[in-house]
Amino acid sequence: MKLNLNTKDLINVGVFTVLYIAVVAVCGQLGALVPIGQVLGPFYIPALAGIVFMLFLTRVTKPGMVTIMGVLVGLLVLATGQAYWVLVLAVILAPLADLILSLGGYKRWINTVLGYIVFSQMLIGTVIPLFFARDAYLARLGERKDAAWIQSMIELTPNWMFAVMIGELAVGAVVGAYVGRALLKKHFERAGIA
Amino acid sequence: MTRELFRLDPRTTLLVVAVLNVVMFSAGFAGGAGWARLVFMAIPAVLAAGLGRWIAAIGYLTAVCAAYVLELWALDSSLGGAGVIVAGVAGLVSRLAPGVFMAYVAVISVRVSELMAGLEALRLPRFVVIPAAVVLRLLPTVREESRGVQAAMGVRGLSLGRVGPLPWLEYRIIPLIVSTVRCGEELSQAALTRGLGRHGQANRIARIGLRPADVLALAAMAAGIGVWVAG
Repeated sequence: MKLNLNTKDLINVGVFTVLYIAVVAVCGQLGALVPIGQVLGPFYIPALAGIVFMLFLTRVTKPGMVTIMGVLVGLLVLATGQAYWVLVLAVILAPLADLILSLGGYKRWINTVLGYIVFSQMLIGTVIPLFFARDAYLARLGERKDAAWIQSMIELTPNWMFAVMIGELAVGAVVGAYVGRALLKKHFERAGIA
Repeated sequence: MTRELFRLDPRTTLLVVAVLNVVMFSAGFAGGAGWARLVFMAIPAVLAAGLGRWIAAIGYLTAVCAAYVLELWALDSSLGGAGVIVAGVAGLVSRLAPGVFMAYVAVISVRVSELMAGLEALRLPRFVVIPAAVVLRLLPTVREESRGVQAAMGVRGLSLGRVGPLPWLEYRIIPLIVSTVRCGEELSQAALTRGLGRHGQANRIARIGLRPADVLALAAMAAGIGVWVAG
């Protein structure tokens, strides 16, 4: 695949990557203030980041930009000490999202929603270690702690939570796509930046 | 110019960011692994102090050491479920904080022109170098804009408690996006005017290369990994 991106496209990728990360960070702040935010995080983070993503898509006309943005988000998440799983997922999911979006010419609504759902799933990487590296983590703890202690650890993170979180991300992404489109109309077109 | 001595090559900085996060998330609790974590916890503090950010360095070091001690204490205590939660939270802080602080050190110390020179020296393609440079350039801007928006909302009395979470988010996020996108557009124009879009190798005045500080940072990392492997 040949990338046909000019400098302006690349700068736009950088700008929206920063915004995406910033919105996720502001949402995290809300999560810290309202306790229920922790559990609902996978739902409302893609729902709000959808605003950035929909605005980004008004700048995207050719393949590659969404892929680069996804990988950069993965790298930035890695750089702030989160799990590398986000990067691993980004390398797989971002090109897939890019493909889905490009099949719709970055315009058709159904492709936009699907593409954003796929793109958002990379955020599940932040909790993968909690669920799948748990055995290694618990084995290491087992050298120091007794079985009852380990048991209470397991009860705190039931496995079905992982499936719930994937579902939350997908629903959040759909909501985000619609919220993004509505806000695009309400604010950005009026302000002349959409 | 003494502070220049403490500034690392952008490539060294990126290496420190990467290795530090790997160590923080892979190393265990005690023995050699514990010492390795202590070494890597200290590196960003030393770098920040070298850059003249003494208060940030001391604040970070205090917080991260407290979290580390608390984690070990909670693991050895017999608190049951409460101990799990305390150890979990303290462990998360002591593992996350060094990475976050190192990212902060990277953002304040690496200059955009150096980063571009460094990444080009690594022969990375333009579609990696330019967005990465834009991200580095805009991160402080977004933070500043975010504070500005927060202050503006404060002046108008639009607190989370008064307007509820959804309008609060809308009032926070929309102005942030608008002002950042405008900054980005101006940045694009400025960069294109200065010839960023030209093909071929650019001449750079940013000097990059291995300096004493880089050697020290690499040695410190080697020592940290050494005690981990040996212990």
